[in-house]
Amino acid sequence: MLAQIMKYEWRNLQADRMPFAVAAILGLAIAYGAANGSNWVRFQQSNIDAALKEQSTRMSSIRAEMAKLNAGEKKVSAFADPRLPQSFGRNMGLHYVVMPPAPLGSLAVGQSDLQPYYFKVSTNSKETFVNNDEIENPVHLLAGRFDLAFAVLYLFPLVILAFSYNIVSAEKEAGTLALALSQPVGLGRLITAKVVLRAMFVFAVSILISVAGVAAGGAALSAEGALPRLLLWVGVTVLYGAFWFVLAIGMNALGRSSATNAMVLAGVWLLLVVIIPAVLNVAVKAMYPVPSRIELIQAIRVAGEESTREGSKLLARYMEDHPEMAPAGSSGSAPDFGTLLVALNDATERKVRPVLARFDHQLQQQQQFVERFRYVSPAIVAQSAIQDLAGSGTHRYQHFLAQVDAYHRRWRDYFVPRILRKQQLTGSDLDLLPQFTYQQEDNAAVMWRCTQALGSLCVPLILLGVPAMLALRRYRVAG
Amino acid sequence: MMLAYLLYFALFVAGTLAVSAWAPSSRAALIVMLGFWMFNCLVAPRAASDIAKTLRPTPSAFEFGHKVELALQGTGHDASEERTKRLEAELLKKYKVDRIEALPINFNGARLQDGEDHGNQVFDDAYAELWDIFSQQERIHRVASFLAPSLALRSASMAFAGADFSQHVHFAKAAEDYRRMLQRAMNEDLMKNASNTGPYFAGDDLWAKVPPFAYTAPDAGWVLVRQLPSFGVLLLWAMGTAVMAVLAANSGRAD
Amino acid sequence: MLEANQLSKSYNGTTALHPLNLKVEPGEVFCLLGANGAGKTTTINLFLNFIAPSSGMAAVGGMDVVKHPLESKRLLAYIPEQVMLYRNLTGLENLDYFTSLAGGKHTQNELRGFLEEAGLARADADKRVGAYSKGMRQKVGIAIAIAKKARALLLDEPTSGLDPKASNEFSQLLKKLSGDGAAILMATHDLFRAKETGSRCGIMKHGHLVATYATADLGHAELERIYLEHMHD
Repeated sequence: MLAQIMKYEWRNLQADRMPFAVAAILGLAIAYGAANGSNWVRFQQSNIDAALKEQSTRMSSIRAEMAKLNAGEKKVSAFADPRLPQSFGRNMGLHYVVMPPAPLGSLAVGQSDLQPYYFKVSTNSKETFVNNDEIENPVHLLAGRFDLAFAVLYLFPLVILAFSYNIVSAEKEAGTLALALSQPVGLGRLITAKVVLRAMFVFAVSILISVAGVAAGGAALSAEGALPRLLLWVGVTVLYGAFWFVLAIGMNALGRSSATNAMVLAGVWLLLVVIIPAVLNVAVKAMYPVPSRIELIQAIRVAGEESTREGSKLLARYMEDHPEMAPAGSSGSAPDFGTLLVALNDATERKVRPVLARFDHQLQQQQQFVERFRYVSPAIVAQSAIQDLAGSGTHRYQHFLAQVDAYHRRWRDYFVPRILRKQQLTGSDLDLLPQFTYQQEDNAAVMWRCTQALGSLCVPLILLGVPAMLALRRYRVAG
Repeated sequence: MMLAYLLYFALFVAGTLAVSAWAPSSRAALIVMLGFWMFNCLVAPRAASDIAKTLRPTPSAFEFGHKVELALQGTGHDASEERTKRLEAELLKKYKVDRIEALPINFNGARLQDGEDHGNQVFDDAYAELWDIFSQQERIHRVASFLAPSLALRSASMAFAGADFSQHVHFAKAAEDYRRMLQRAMNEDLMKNASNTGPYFAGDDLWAKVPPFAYTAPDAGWVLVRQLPSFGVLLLWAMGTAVMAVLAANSGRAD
Repeated sequence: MLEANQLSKSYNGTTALHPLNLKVEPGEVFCLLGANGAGKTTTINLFLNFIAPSSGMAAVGGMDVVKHPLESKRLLAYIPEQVMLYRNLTGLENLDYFTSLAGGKHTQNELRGFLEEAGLARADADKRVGAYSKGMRQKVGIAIAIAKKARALLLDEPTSGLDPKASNEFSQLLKKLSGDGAAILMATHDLFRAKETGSRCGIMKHGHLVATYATADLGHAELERIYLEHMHD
C-alpha cells in the first residue's frame, strides 16, 4: 500500500513544478559548491607544492653557496653565511611545515580560509611565523564561501521545507484528506508515505550530486578513512534533513493553513540557520573576549625591549644596529650575536607566555562555550561535524598546530646547541635536518566525534518527533 | 546611511507589493519573495565574491610574499651588492673623494636610506598591484549589485561606518607615510652626524623632533562621493520596484 | 449497521450534538433533515471518527469507531457534498489510489467496471479530474464505495448543486446500493430526494433529533409541512 501511495503521490508532485524547480536549484548549488571546494583544495595544494619547491631550490643553492664558501671562492657577511647555524636556522634555511588538504577537504572550506595551512618554522619564537594568513579581499572573507557545506546547511533545509511545508495542510485545504481518511488508513501511514517519497528524492539529489561533485573534483576517495568519513557525512546530511522533515510534519500536525505553515517554517529556518549561529558567535566573543592581536604584538615588543635592556650592552647595540651594518667577513664576533639572540628569545618568550596563555585560555573557553551551546541549533551541530569530516574545522587545525609546536621544538633543539657551540654546518648536516611530515588525525577519534554528532542530531529529532506524533493523533480532519 | 537603508527597505516593500499583485497565488508570491531574499542576502554575496575572484584572482600569500622577497633581494642591476657599489661610486664622485672613510656623510646612513628607498619602491609596486586587484574586484561587486541590492547596501553601510577597505587603505597609507618620514629623519641624522669610523649615538632631541602620528579620518563627503554608485543602484532598485508596484496595482483585477 | 448510542459532541461548552440514538439497518436509507448547523454533518463526522465524541459511542458494524478506527472504515464509504479528488490524476487513477488505500487490489478492467457501474461515461474515466463536473466526481465517489463493497454509506448533502437529471441518477444509484444491502445515512436539504430514496427520515434541530418518520407513510406535501412546522419555533 505504501508503494501505491508513493506512486500516486509522485504523480501529484510532478504536476506541481515548484518543488522540482527548487530541487534543481539545490542540485546546481551543490554541484557549484563541490566545484568551489575542489578549487580551494587545489589552490591550497598548489601553494604547498610551490612552497616545497621553493624550499628545495633554496636548499640546493645553499649547498652550492656552502661549497663556494668552504672553498674560499666567496666571502659574505655573517648574516648571509648559511654555514652559521643562527643564519641558517633563523632565516636562510627555514623549512616549511604544511598541512595538506584532507581527502574530503572539498566538502567544506570551513575555517581553512582563515587559518594558515603552512608555516616557515625558524628558531625565533612561534609568534614570528604564525601570522601568514592567505591574502584575501576582506569583503570576500566577510561573505563566506559558497561551498558544499553552505548548500547543505542553508539551501538543503529550504528545499525540504518547500517540499513538505503543506504536506497535510494542502490536502486538507483541497478536501482530498477527508476522502483519503475515510479509507482504512491512518494519517501516520499516509504522512510516512509522503515523507519517505520526498525524502528519497531530496536526499538522492543532494547526496548523489555531492558525491559525484566531490569525486569529480579529485577528492582522494581511496585514501585511508575517506570512505567511512563520506558515509558519516551522508549520515549527518540525512539526519539534518530528517530534522527539517520532522519539523514540517510537526507544523502540519498543528492543523494550520499552508500559508501559516510556510511563514512559520521559514521563520524557524531563519532562526536556527542564520540568527542563532550569529548570536552565538557574538555572545561567545562578548563573554570570552580574546585579547586583540595588537595587544599581543605590543606585549611581545615590550617583553623584547625589557629583555634587550637586561641583556648586555653589546646586545643592545647589536639590536639597534641594522643587520646590514655588520661588516663583511667578521664572523669572529657574529656567533656572540647568535648566542645572545638565543638568550634574548628565551627571555622574551618567557615574558610573553602569560599573555599567550590568556589568549589560549580565552580561545578554549570560547570553544567550550560553543560546544556546550551548539545543541541549540542542529545547523551548528551539522556544521561542526561536516567541517570535522572535511578536515577544515577546529580539531584538525589544533592537531596541526600541536605538530607545528613539536617541530618548532625539534628545529630549535637542533640549532640552538650548534649556535651555542659555534659549530658550523656542513653539507652533510643538511641531510640530517629535522624533517616535518604531517601526521594524519587519528581516524577513530574523528569517527567517534562525528558519531556523537549524529547522536546529538537525533535528540531534536526525538524532541520534535514525539510531540508531532502525539499532535497528529489529535489531528482534526473536520470540525 | 539612513537614506541607504530607507531605499533598501522601500525596494522590498514595493517589490513585495508588485510581486503579490502579479503572482497567481499567495503561495507563489511568498516563494518568489523568499527566493529573492535568499538570493539577495545569502547567495549573491558569496557568488559575487566567487565571480570577482575568478575574473580578478587574488594572488596567494605565498606567491605574493615570494615575489616581494625576490624583488627585495633584487636581481642583476638591482641586486643589493650592485646597488651598494653604485651608491658608493656615486657618492665618491659627488664628494670628490676616493675612500668611504673620507666622505663627509656617513655611508651606512646613505646605504640604509638607499635600501629603504628600494624597499619602498618594491612594496609600493606590490601593494599597488594588490590593491588594484581588490578595487577591480570591488567594481565587479558593484556590477553584481544591480542584481542583488544587498551588495550596494553592504558597501554603503560599511563605508559610512568607516569600516570599508578604502578607508583601511587610507589609514594604511597615512601610517606608512609616517613611517617613511620617521625612517628618513633617522637615516638623515645618521648621515649627517655619524662619522665613518667611530661609534654613533643619537640623543633624545632627535626623537623630540619627530612629530607624533596624527591621523585624520576621511570626512563624510569623501565617503559619500565614493558611495554614489551604491546610492545609484539602491535608488534604481527602489524606483524600479515602485514603478512595478504601481503598474501591478493598476493592472490588478479584483478576482 | 450504523448505530449511535447516546452520541454527543460539544465544542468548548457549545453543544453541537445532544445525545443521539440512531440505528440504520442494512438496506435502509436514513435521511437526516434540518437547517445548517443542526448537527447533521457533526453526526457524520463522528461516524467517520474525524472528530472525537464528547460522550456516547458511534459504531459501524458493531465496532466502536474510536476503538476500531481502521476496521470500521473498511465497511464505510463517505461521499461529502464535494467529492474532492486529485485534480491532476484521471478518474481511473483516483479510483485506483483510493481503493488501494482501502487495501483493495483491482485490475484496470475491474476499476473501469466500477466507474461504469457508478454511471461514469467510459470515455471520461481517462480524463483528468480537474475537468470533471460535480456530478462526475460524485460518481467516482460512488465507484470507490462499490469497489470496496462498502456496507455503510455516509453521505453529506450529496445532491445539493446537482442538476435534476444528475440528482435523479444519483438517487437511482443509492437505491441500487441499498438494494444490495448497504446501510445509508444521508444528510440532505432535499426533501424530495429524501422522500424518493429514503426509507426513514429524521429531522434535526439545534443538535437534537426531534422526530423520525418512515417516508413510506408520508406524501411529499406532508413531509414538507411537517418539516416546516419543526423549523418554526
